[in-house]
Amino acid sequence: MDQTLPFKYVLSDEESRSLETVDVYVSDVKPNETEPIIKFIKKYCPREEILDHVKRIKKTSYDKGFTLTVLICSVESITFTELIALIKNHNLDLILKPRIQQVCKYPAITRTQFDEWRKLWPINFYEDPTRKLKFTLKEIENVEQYMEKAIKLSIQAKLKGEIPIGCIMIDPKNNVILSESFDTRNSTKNPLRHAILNCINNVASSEKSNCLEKSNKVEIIQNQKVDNVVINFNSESFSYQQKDDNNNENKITYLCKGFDIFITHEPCIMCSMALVHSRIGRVFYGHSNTVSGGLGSCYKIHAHNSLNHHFKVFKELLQHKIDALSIDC
Amino acid sequence: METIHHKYMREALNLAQEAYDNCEIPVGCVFVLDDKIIGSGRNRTNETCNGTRHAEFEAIDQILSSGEYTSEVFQRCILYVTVEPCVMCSYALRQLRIKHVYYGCANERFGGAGSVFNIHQDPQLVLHPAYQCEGGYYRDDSIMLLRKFYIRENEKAPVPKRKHKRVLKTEIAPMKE
Repeated sequence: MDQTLPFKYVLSDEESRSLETVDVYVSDVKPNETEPIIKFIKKYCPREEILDHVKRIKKTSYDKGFTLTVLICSVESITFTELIALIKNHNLDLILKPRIQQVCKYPAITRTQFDEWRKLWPINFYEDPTRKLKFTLKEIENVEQYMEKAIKLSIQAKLKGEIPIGCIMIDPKNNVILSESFDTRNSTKNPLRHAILNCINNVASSEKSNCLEKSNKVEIIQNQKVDNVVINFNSESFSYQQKDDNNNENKITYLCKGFDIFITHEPCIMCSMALVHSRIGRVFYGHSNTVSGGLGSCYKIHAHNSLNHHFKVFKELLQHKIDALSIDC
Repeated sequence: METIHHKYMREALNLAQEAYDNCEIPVGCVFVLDDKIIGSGRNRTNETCNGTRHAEFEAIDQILSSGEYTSEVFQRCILYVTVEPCVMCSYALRQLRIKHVYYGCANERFGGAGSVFNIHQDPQLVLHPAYQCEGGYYRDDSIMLLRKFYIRENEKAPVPKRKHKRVLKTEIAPMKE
């Protein structure tokens, strides 16, 4: 039974696609004749990688027993006449009578696809363990609290005459807030000062100062036992950097690798790609952006095959609250 | 044939070389308004620990923070950049309503102006007008700079790849249409 979550997973095209089929030759066979037929198919029929996800034999059970149907090869790889000639050459024409059948074209990625597509013809299914989208109750509570904070930031933005989009970045390993920011396009008169870019810039400057500090006084830091909190103020927003000296060696950060972002509105294409460049871990957003959204609406940049970093995206988190504020961007 | 575009692209290449000399991904750019360079930039992602500090962003921030121009200036600007703008920069340029973009070589991994996506022309993005983007100016030089960069090792990566066995290739395939 699937967990009911207060947000939705934004599927990639591969995960959300519906059934597409490809034509193949199949033939009913008797159980005691399958062995020579399978040997023949393996040795003489075209073998195609595109059919790796499809099972070679289908078993259909009925009251008194079962029938077996074998898959020979795809219609694309050989003409019907050629196939008949091939079968005749190997003296199998009495037991192998090809007909055309449809099988699913692509491997199933989600269980929903698998359950739907296997009805047509049996298929293999490997459930990627990293795709598991289970959250503990504590995690769900945290996630909602972070989005509440992002909403507060969007209200702050609105009060300051900015476009009301708020966002926060956290490290899910220790629940430390790394940066809180909002859109500052109006006050800066810079059309690119979106909430996410501001957030990434904050995290980068603390990472940078962290780096410098580290190279300057590695020795001293190691001897300190007290947690110290550095707050960087700049005109737009602020960022916290908490240093836990007890696990100093775990503090090696690379851009925003492994961090979570909570943002009231779906990031635009520019910000979505900025998150790829920053190696973000996960993104949670509330309201979809149908005119320029890059994580589900116009593009699915988080799951695009040719890009070098992929991440999970969840939408509609506390969307009713964001919509109730009638924040229109 | 030498054109005005080659002149500005050479400026962009000089900046890309500067990036290379500072261990950054060698991409450089200049923004030109009425035949005058009003801003320039080169990649600074390593120096700033910030994966979004591409040449275009460096130049845009330089122009806007100079106090001489408002963001409307980009509507009259031409951008010369040694490598096709990435997806992020392509949409940034669209938001700025850039007039025209000329680039050196295509960016097959991240390119947003023809290679991976067509952000510059996509008709569904109705908020900002489409713009023209043309490649091929000093393409070979732009490619060679990138190749020279990528056979070096990136010490900032979490697990730097060992590349001592790699050899710098010099043959360049013709441009794709």
